[in-house]
Amino acid sequence: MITNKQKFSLIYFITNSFFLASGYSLIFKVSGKDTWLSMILGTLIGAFFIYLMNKYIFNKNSNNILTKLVTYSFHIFIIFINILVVRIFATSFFLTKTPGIVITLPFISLAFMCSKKGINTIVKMSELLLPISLFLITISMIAVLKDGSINSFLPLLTVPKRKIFISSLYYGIFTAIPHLMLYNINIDEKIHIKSYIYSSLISIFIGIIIISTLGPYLIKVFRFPEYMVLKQIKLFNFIEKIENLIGLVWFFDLFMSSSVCFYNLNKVINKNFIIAIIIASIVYFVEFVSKNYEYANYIYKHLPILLFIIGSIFFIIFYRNKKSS
Amino acid sequence: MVDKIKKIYKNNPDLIIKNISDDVTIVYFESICSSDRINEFVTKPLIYENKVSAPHIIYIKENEIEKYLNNAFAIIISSNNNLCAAEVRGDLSRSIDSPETEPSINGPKDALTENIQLNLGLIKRRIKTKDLKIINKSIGKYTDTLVQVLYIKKEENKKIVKRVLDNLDEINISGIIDSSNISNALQEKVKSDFPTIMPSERPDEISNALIEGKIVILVDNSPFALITPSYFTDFINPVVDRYSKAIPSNFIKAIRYLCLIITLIEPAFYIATINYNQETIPTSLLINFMIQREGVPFPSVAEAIIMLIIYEMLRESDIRFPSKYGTAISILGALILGDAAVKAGIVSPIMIITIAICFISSLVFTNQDFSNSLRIYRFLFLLGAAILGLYGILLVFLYFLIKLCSTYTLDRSYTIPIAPYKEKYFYKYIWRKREK
Amino acid sequence: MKIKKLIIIFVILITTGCFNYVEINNLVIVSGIGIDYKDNKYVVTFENLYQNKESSDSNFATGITKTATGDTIANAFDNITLSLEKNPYYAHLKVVIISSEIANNHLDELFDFFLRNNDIRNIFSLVISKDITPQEIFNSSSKYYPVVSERIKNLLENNIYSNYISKNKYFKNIASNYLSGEKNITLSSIYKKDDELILGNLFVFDKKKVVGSLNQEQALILSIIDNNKPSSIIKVPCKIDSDKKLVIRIYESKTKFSIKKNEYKITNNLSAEIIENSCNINLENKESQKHITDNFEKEISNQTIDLINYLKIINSDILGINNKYFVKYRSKNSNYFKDKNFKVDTILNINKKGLIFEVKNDNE
Repeated sequence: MITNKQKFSLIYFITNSFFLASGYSLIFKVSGKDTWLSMILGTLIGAFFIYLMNKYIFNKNSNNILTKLVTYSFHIFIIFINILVVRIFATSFFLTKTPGIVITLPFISLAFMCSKKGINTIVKMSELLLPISLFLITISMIAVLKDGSINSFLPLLTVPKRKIFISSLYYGIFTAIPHLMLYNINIDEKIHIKSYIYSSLISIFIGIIIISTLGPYLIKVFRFPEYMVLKQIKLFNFIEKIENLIGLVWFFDLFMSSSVCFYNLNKVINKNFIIAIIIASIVYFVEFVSKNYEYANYIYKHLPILLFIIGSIFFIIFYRNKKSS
Repeated sequence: MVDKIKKIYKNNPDLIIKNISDDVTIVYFESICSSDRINEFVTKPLIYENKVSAPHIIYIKENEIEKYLNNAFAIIISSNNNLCAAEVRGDLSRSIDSPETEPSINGPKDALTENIQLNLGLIKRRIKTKDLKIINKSIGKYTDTLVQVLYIKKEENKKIVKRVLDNLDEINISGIIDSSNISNALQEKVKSDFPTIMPSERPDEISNALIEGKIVILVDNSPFALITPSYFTDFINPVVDRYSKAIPSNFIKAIRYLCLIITLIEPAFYIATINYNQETIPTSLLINFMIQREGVPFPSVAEAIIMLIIYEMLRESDIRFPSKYGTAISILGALILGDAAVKAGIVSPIMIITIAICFISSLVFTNQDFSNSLRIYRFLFLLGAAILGLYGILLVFLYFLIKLCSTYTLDRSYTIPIAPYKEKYFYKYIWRKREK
Repeated sequence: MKIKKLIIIFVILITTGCFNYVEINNLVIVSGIGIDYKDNKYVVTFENLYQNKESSDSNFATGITKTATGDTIANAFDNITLSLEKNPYYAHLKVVIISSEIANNHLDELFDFFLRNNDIRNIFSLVISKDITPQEIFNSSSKYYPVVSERIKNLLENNIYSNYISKNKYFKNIASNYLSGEKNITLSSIYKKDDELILGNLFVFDKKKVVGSLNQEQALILSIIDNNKPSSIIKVPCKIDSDKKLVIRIYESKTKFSIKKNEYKITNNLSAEIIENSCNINLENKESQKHITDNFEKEISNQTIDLINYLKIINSDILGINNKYFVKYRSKNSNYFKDKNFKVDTILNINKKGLIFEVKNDNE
């Protein structure tokens, strides 16, 4: 029995899992200082996506080969992107000289171990991690707020409308497409949309604070604007330079979404041997991609489109299946 | 009949066989029976009134002689081979003391002893309802120990009562010396790092547990009763909290949670900041650390492990060594960890302070099993920090949470009432609210 | 079986080596960096912190400088490590001093290098050294101030209420203003006189290079317009005896800019307190109060007009007026500040008069 609070915490982590290292910087590049408007529009687009998901593809089960293939590829793609982000983020800030395998292999095996214990463990872990994440993020954002000014937003609405629409689409795709992995878990439609809107509000809050402190020029320059903001925290005149501790909070949502993906994979594939091969190949490909700058750049730039294509294939194939009893 | 008994117990010098008159013989073990009671219940009435008047008399059969002789009954054999047993148990236990392992400032100060009837009496003084059910079992091949399962009959209890009784039936062990044998045997099936059964010495804690719907196991010859199911928060907050006011005791609870975090993470955090992320430390403190570590030959990880092991040795020797042997040992310990180690250049003073704070905060948790599991995780955190810095601490923290969330006590999750969130119990145990 | 797996993983993790493990005694803390440009090469100076072994109390640090040259900034950084026995550690950087050569020509490379670097956090102060090279500033450590970068940082921070030319802004803010072109930047400067480090004039920038400097009186007015809590002192000579002056200190200011298509207007709303009254004016008389206030308002408005005229001549928009035009009318006009007329208005409210009423001579 999964309670409502546990559903909310799981949805919160899954919604924010694509924002580190690819979410904020892509959206800021397209629509500079008017991103707040595109985030609000993007929430509405995402809510519409989730409504479609709930109506047509959740609670369906079927076993033909096409469905299995689509589930494999979707979940493996999401795990791949998550581990790629872990590798890039950890080697940029925390451990600059360590080889990639030592960073990614423990992380992915922990996610696999968590998924083996069942859905109850995953949901309880997210419920335990939720207050830590919310507390640290709100305190750090409020501490940074005094450096910000409203001049970074003015003049309002100078970005052309086409770009605002594109970036709101990007936002909707980033936040809503990962919810496809919840097709096995029985979530009520109203609760789903409500939790999605609450968690989206939190990321809008973070985005607004990033724009107001960094300024309209620097948000397009930095690769990790959500981490650069944390470098300015100064509490009570003596607590400073703690961005390393607070930056760890971003790892929680990557962990949660990877373990839900592994849980779905476990249901389709029953043998441990095949999943071990999948883990080894993911780690190898992550190393390969992060060492070649062109591939990493290509994935970074085209990430929303890739997500949308895979998500829509998933949607179409599941739409044709019959509802389970 | 008497000759048969003499043959079986040939080598027992404490078996006494008495002939009261031509018809009647009494057989009993002198070591476990009390001669006063034998005189009063058996011998005198037999001599003067030719009957036995005792509070507990049964007619028994021939094959039950051994069982009743071992349980401090006197067997009366009449001439026509009718057997009758009367209980004349001697008092071999100590008197009621104050609890040694869980002291309290306000609250009742009596503790359980080794006599199971006395323990049951202490509990029954507090709970006087007909819903208190007691089930007797005998476990152990050589010891045949009496084990009693107590519970208050409620709607929520039915499944776990049945589960506990089934688990007790499955125990196949040669002897039960202490209640921890039963507790270990029951916890083997769960396969977890954390203790799921709590031993307790205080009858008020046991009565509280019974009222909440938990199950208590009393074991003969053991002053510790077992309470199942026990959750993670039970090991952190003692029951003595409930005797103070609600809101001021929240402060002490917050200090205990802080102690839990400090005792797990502090040595690891120190090593991660000194060796991997030096920017977290303010500049002048960093220069102080550099000056202090100037003459120390070991890397800081080795220093930390050496200090932790020395502290564990100190704690172990403190428990074992009898206190009558004098204070020379404590002076020796203080000398080792005091100036001498620093001046000899083996450790730096900052390391001593760090490990001392970690150690002091671990003294808050009195349960042995719980401290043992925390110790394992303290070393794991240290290892993770030594290899991968702050990221390593994050990985071990996630591992700790996974292990915590996947433990179940009697099919209930271990982290109730935090996850899944139950409002009523949250405001009773974790953060108290004013009761209306 | 489970233990074997654990042992394998453990052995792999340990024998690959802890790559980022750094013993704290193998680090040298870099506290200040000085950059200069001579003979087509960058000259970089580090100030490192070491344990002070001369003094009896060995818990304090002293600064030791090292210098090297190179073709680019990164080359010069690498060449310094030829004589450093330990790894440099930049996270506690406090001050970066640049010479006017770099401030005029090479600021772009400087910003690119510092923003891109992983190790350097962008929370330090940027200062220009006037008439002297950064190397000589760092070499001037004395017995009471063994660490020069600490001294400069305290000079910039702790005297904000009594002088107007220390502007201690983070490097990130300076970079943001410079690269986006919203406001032109100003940088403090330091010069050395008889072994003392003194704050010099504020250097004022155009889009790319230094075009002028503000002395203390001009900076006084700038801090009134730009700052929420200034601390500027204005003095006006007395009517009768022009040797003696009446002095007020302005402690709160709200400046409004009203932008129209052909001109802009600056309105100062100020509150002040009287510091020195050597004129023997009766301050409780309403007429004399109004007279004093009018005098001061004229004085402040005149000084403001002088400052803005000077800024117009050197074409440096440090108040961000072009940006305000863009905010209102949504079209960029980079000559707005320079070409259009302006008006200045001052509203002064002297509402604090100090702890005493008057100092009077009873004999007169």
